[in-house]
Amino acid sequence: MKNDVQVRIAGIAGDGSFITGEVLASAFKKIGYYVVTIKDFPSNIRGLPSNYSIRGSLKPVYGRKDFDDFLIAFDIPSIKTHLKELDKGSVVIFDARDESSLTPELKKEGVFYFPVPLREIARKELGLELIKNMVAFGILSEIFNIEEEITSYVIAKHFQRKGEKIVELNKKAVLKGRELVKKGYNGFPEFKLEKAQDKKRILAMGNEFISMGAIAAGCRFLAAYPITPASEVLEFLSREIPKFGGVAVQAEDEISAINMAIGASYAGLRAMTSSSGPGVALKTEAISYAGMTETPLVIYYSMRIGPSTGLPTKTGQEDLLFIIFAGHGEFPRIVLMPGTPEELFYLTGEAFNLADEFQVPVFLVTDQFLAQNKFTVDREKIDPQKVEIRRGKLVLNGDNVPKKDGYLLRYKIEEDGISPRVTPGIKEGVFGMTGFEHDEAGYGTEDEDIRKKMVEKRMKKIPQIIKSVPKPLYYGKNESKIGIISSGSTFGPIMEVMERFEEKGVDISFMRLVTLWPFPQDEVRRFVEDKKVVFIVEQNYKGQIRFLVENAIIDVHKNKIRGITKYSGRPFKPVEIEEKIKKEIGNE
Amino acid sequence: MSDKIKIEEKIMKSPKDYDGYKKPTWCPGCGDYSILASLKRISAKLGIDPTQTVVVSGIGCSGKSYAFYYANGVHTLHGRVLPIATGIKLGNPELKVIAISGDGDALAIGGNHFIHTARRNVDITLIIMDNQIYGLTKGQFSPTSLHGFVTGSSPYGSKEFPVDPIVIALSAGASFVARAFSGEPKSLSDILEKALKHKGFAVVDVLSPCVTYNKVNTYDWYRNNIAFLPDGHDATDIKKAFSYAIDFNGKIPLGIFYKKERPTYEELMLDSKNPCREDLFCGKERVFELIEEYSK
Repeated sequence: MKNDVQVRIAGIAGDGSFITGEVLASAFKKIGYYVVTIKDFPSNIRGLPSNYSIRGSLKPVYGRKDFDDFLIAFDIPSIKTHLKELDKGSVVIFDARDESSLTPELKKEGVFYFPVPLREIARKELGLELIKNMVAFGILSEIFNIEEEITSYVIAKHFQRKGEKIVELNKKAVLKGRELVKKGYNGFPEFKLEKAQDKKRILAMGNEFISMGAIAAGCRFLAAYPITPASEVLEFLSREIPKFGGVAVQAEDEISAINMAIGASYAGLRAMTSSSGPGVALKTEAISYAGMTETPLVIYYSMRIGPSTGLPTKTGQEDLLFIIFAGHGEFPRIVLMPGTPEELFYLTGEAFNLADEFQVPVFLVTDQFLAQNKFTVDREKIDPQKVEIRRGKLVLNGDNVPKKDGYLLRYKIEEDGISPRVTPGIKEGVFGMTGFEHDEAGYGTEDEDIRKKMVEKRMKKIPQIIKSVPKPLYYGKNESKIGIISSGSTFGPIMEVMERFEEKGVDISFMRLVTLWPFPQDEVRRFVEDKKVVFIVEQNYKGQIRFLVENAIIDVHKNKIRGITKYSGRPFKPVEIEEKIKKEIGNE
Repeated sequence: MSDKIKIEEKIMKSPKDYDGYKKPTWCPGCGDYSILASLKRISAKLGIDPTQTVVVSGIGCSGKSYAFYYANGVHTLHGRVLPIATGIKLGNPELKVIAISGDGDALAIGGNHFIHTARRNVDITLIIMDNQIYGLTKGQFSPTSLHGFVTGSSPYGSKEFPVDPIVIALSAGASFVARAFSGEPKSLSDILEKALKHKGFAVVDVLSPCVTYNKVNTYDWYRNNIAFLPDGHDATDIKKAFSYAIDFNGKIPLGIFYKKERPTYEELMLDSKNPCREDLFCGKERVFELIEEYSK
């Protein structure tokens, strides 16, 4: 019996790989498995190769396996492309039509190849060649021993909006696939999945967890421009925010989007803008403006890889230093990096709280892998009631507002550097807001003394921010002399690597940075000082987290640092991290 | 005329009561003085409540306006007057939003927003202080500068042709489109009054001479080149509006080209009476439902 399986469905876009994967993911969830989907789609709509991997596991997983157990290949190039993802025991199910094209170099040792007349069955027996993908899903369901009741349920769920006829046809296709296996067609391998507890779980895309987090946190305004891999937030919130009297605007450009969000936040709403690298590059002037005007703002930043257009549908963590430093002039900011589905949800709420409390821009950072893939989480772990709403010094009426001659002192210099957040519309007076240096009423001034005081006022927030932001999280045995530091979507593969080492009796201590800025200098310094070797795992070439870590520690500890990087645009496989650690600690 | 407004010890009854945080610092003779004076005069007449009003201005000489008029003032980034104004209007539709921009701010760096704000018909009054030059940066040609106009950045005469904000506003869907001249304060005030009363995106292009850097488009030049739209012009006739804007016997036409109310963006997008606008905890219920959907 198996309890962890990864299936890759590959073909050209339009072959139905995506819907097959979605259906399979639902089926895995339904049998009580944890699911991760790994979308590897081109930046194109039809005609180019695309593939979708689905992992189902009895244990919680947040990343891909080292190798695919199954490859459903709708054409021969798909076998060629993904051969490197197959290992001994992997199974390739491909269309019998292509059998003569299965040349020797496509035959990897130890891999099983099963030609099945998918298209022919679909065409002749179901009258629709397109439905070949559901025949393949049927084959998999039978191999995995997924009950018919469950496959019928997920088929109905995914196809119901296309009508009863389509649902029935798809169910029939699944049965055809099942029959093939039952008849022992070609001797399909044994790969029954261990039964799991049917536990209620949520299966959703990272961008959907983010959007739900925003709704639960009282976000009432989003302005964004469509961009991969962040657009799902714009679409989700365009659907949901209006129900609460709020608004989601598709702006004419990225610059307009962030400025609209600043305008709405100035008026008192919880406001957000969402984008990716190219978009935030355009927004940087306004980020400084939010810094200067002390306007609370959440910037959801879903990273793709660059430079420039780069690979829009691929994942990476190349923008970390950009996010930390983007914008001219000096002002405090907060950068949060969720790494699990729960965190995607709760940290979104926290981003709004921190923005309101400190009146600063807060970046909520994910990457394409976390943003556009689906993950499962136990239902009770997402509890909207646990989302706090803290609005800091927001002022909606004028009773306690400091005022002078009909002006409200929006930028009053307070002991803690945080001024009352006066909003327009208060009957007792008016105030200014400007990107120019300003006085307490918010009007521009070049006065040297005021300039100094205002800079100090803004900077005074930093020590308080450091105390308030989420602390790094630690996993594994703290006393271990081998450390890992990482952040964001690398969480899944790192946890699996730790487990593998633990099984061999090697303990590793893993520090996950949830807040990337202000950088947790002290915690990182203590962590590194305590270790013999520290691996910094990140998805970029230059080692950007490494740069921050090395900046936080004194020279004598720098020789402990080893970088483990990946910049191909694909997420880490555990084995890629494991091998590098093995090589290093083997040398000790 | 509404009742007089009392703010602390301040009672709004005369144009002077709308004097802002600072005294204007424009050059003596600048056309912008007259625009500001007209705005204050009409504000007193209409009884505009400064506390329920936001003046949003950009960067440039026009951008300083936010501090010269008594209301909430927002001084935006260069060119971003309209996105910020739109955000404010959506954030609190009860507020009156007056946007003040220059020809560079509104039509060059902010040109994209001009088109899209008009298309959306957000309830904002936009006053363009149009002097056909970049004044605060000491004299470079602007998008409304005439072809052949010699400036520091067009030493051989501008090779570009001017853009007409009236034509753009009309084609992009602004629901109120007018032009005035700061040397004609009476008609300017009249147009501003109608613009401020209009519900929807109202564009008023105000020709406003820069006495320091623009030695071509002077008060006299404007007086010789302007002409008023005929009294009987039907402002709901968009074809006629286009026709006058494009060709007015070689003159620059002044007056209200077009005026027709249609639903505003915030009316179409917002349920502003929804109690959840105030009660941020509303979302939690909905998230329970969403979780249910994603758990199926």
